[in-house]
Amino acid sequence: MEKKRSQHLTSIVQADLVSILALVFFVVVVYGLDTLLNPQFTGFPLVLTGVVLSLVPAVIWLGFFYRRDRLEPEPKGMVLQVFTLGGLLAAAIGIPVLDNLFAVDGWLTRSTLSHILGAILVVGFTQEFLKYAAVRFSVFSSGEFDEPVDGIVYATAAGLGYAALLNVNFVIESGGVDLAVGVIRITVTSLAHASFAGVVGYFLGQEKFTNRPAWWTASGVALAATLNGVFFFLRSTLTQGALSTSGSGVQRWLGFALAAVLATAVTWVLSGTIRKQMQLPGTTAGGMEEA
Amino acid sequence: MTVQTMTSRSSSQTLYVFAATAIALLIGWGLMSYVTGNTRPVTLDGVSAAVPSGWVIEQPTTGPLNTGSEVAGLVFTARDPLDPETRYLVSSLPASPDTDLGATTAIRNLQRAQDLTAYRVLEQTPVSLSGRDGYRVSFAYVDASQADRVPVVYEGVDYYFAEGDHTIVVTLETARSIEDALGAFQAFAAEVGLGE
Repeated sequence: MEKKRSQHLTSIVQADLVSILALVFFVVVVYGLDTLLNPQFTGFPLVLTGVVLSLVPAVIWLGFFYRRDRLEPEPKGMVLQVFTLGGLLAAAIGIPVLDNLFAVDGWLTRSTLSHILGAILVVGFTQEFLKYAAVRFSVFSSGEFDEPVDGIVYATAAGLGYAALLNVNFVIESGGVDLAVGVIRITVTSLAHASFAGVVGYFLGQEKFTNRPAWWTASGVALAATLNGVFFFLRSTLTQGALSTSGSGVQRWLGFALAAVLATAVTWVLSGTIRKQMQLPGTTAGGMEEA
Repeated sequence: MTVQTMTSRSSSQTLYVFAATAIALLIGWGLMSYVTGNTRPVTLDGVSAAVPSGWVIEQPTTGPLNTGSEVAGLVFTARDPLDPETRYLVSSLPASPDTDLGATTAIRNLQRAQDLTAYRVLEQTPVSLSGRDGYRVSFAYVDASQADRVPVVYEGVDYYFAEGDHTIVVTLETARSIEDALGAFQAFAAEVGLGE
């Protein structure tokens, strides 16, 4: 049994390495092509570029999180449905609410305080609530959601779907300018949205299978919204415009680096949490924690 | 644990999530109202504007402007003391009612190209901002005027509006991300006009 578990862990680590290498390869290829060819996209090719650049990191990260549910992997179709639902909610509600109703571009950056508070209260809560809704009102009540760790798997799928739509929107709005830098932003943003949604998913999983107080999941959404807001603040305040020519090189990358560190740290904690949950003797693939 | 207990527990969890989100968004709405409404009216040389509270206003005759792209007709510069590399410039140029905004932009671009280092016009196009027809010029230049620091790339946007016998030019210049500053600037530019 112990040997089998060890073999399984080794295969996951190998697969993770392949995922990371595939991401690095993807970023390097796009970076190189953009630098060498400096392509100008408009119309349909621009949309297609946005879709490809957004989907590739999303699919790789999806595999990264999906592999963690090794005891009873979720049906791929169901995961894909939640991924799609996350994207649809972003397009139908998330982006219009932030861009039109709250028009965050017009006021968020007027001061540091409004930037950080607005990023958490408006951007963070809107996005994390929608990812929560994508899981809570679809797969949460189904028989497939049969162990706590499923919350993380489905929520990260919703988060990646949400991020994919944001990234397509980002490429189109920026007119495909400077994709070399854009592809790094897209990759980090995908990981960030997946990991923050994973936090919501952890709380959802606990809500379903353990006895938690009524405010439990709300506190999870609040925590994810705070992480999301801090990420948003770091990326936009210190990045100095990923697609602009302004700012010194060091300043330009500092925010990105900090935001990437935050997303990686949350992913690392999530991975540890999943591993721990898998080893819990009372948590079976059949569902409820044995009291 | 019964299914009924689980369902009722999940319902209360869901209610709490909805309540937390609603409260956060309401506070966010209040924050937005406070930030967007937190301006002070300014009228200088016949040009009125709603400047964000706390911003420093400098006039050509009273302050050390130190703006690389200072051009003729400058009425005032407004800058955020927390972000000194972002500034709004408001200029007023005499014009006849049939003055072509495109020609005015060409003259100013030419003047800047002579005065500034590596001045580039990135895009210029007729626009409509909050129902006002005008002309927008996106540009960039290098500020190498200070000997004790490395040259800084500034990006900027001009909005040109014809107002009676004047052309109002509202300019954003920033060394930070122009995408981040543009929304707030457009709200500011939409309010600038002639009058008390």
